[in-house]
Amino acid sequence: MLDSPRHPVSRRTALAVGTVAAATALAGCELDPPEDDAPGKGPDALLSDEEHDTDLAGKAARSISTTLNEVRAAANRHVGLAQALAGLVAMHEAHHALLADSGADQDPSTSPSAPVTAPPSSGEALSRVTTSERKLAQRLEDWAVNARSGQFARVLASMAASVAQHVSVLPKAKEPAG
Amino acid sequence: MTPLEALQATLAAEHAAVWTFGTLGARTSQSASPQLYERLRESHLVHRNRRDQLSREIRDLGDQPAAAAPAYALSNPAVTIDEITSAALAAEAACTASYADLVTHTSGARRAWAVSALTNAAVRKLAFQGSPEIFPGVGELTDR
Repeated sequence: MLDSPRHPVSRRTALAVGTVAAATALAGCELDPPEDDAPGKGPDALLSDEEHDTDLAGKAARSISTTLNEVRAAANRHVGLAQALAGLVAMHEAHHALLADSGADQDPSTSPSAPVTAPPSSGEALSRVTTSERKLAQRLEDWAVNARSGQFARVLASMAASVAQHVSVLPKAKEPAG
Repeated sequence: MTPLEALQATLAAEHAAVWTFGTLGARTSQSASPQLYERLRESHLVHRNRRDQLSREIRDLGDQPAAAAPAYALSNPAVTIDEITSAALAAEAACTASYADLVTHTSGARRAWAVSALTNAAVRKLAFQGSPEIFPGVGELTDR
């Protein structure tokens, strides 16, 4: 039988959710049974719970990697922002490492994403970072709600909360000069 | 743990938070420490609302919400400004962990609510001299 081409799940990516469970010292916990109030699964209903969450882990890792590249670009172009953005960089690296340790995505420094150029104005760069971080937090919250494993949902929700914390201590972006 | 048991456990955490913030507010001078007083008052209000929401949810599921205890232990004597701030931080941390657990044991709309409450509690920690964390509410990942 041919594997579904829509959801190719490699052995490496299949390990990602298990890694999260192991990292939380909860390996072996069964996936939570769906409840009546669970959101509609749509086409994902054909996936096993583990495949579904492995897919989410990959999406989360790639989204984090993309956001991290934006933060690094801003910090590299605007030295004055580097210190303020250092916490975000460390957070994204830790979140990505948890998801990527077993192959949910490649290392963020080697991900083949498009090169990111920060805006010339530091205020605009900071504003763009803030917007990207808020979008990432929202995506992480959505994935937490949709995760089939309760333990994996808890980790994704914690990541979203971490992003919200870090964003709330960023300096306020100023209007771009001229 | 069933969703109902998780809701009851979270309600217990919110009962403690409501008592704690009420107590800390009563020990804080509004004139001498207006900023801390306002933050305590705001947290008290937020946790009262969360407590009421959890109680309604539990009743909707056909169960009786767990009653509050007459008093709860504070994390320190809570006499000085630093101690009061630290006790407030501990209360928000306890709620953050409780909502993270609620995320684990719920799904759908209830989980979405828990996710939002987790983020809210985590951010509120910053008002009491907390620092941004890598995995708020998930203690076993703190050292990663």
